[in-house]
Amino acid sequence: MTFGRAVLIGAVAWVSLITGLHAALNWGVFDSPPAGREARAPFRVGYLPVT
Amino acid sequence: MTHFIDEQMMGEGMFEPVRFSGFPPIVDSMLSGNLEATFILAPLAMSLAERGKPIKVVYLGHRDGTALMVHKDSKIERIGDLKGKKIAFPSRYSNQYLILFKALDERGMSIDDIQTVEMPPPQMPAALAARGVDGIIAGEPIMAKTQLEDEKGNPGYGRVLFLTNQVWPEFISCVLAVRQDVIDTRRDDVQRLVDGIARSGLWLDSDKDTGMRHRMMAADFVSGPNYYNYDPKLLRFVLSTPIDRVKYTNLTVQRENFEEIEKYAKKAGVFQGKVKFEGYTDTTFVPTGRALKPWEWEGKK
Repeated sequence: MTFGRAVLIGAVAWVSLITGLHAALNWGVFDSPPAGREARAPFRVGYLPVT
Repeated sequence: MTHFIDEQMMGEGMFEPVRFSGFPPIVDSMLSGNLEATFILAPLAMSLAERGKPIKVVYLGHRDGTALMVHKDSKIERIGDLKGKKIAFPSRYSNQYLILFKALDERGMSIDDIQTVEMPPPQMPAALAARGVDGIIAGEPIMAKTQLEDEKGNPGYGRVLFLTNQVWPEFISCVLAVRQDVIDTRRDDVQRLVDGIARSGLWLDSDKDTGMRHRMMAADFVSGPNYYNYDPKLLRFVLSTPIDRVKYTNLTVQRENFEEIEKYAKKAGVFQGKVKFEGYTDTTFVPTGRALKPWEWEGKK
């Protein structure tokens, strides 16, 4: 393996690792939904800020 | 309020309040499936049901909570003095419009004896201040705003001609309307919403004779940007001056109340009567004898 190829593979691996950590830690994409909320559809209630 | 207390007590609010600035977009969102339920003007909900839209009124949002304001320097002292005057109201599909019919009817007058102008409620205080109209009628807190000093220190210029309970006791303005498919498929959620509103109302008034702390707390948290986004001082005033200016109890859907609304809605030409009470309401969420308790909540965690 050439030095350039090793650097390229290392860079790709590093960026992938950082991206994965960012997604997991900051976006929580691998988190399980909180208990009891797995399948709950939204229940939106409209209102006007007057009585 | 139900959403806020739910969040405080359970850590999450099951219901997502969605604020609008007018009723037409609320109707569009409801009918296109983007809202499961909504607070909406009672005659508008009845009219939609009459036009075949699949919604039902299941509960009330509150009672009273509307005033007719005149300028404090006006010579209008009683309802009879409104003859020939220009009165702004929010919508032909509002009970604020219908109460004009009732107030005038009971004094031997008719709606033709006054000039009416449809106007979005947020514009009404400025119109009254400029004397562009002689009177304004809409839901609170917009009416009370004319009574209080503004943020620049200018004194209030509005005077109450009547509060709704002086003309139409137990007045209904907004009702909780739910899509029929939601009633059919998410009955437990609708029940929880109805119960939550009922318990919020009971909570609000559970200390009304001993300082109204709950009403003042409600004014403070509902005034936040996630809900009403008004000056808390204004909401504290509305909820306390006088205390029956707006009520959050007796919120069940009752036939006699709606038949009276039908009567004036027919006169106003916004309801034909093709659908009866059973056709636009679902009263099964408040079975006879069902007793609920106020929220047991005394402040933010």
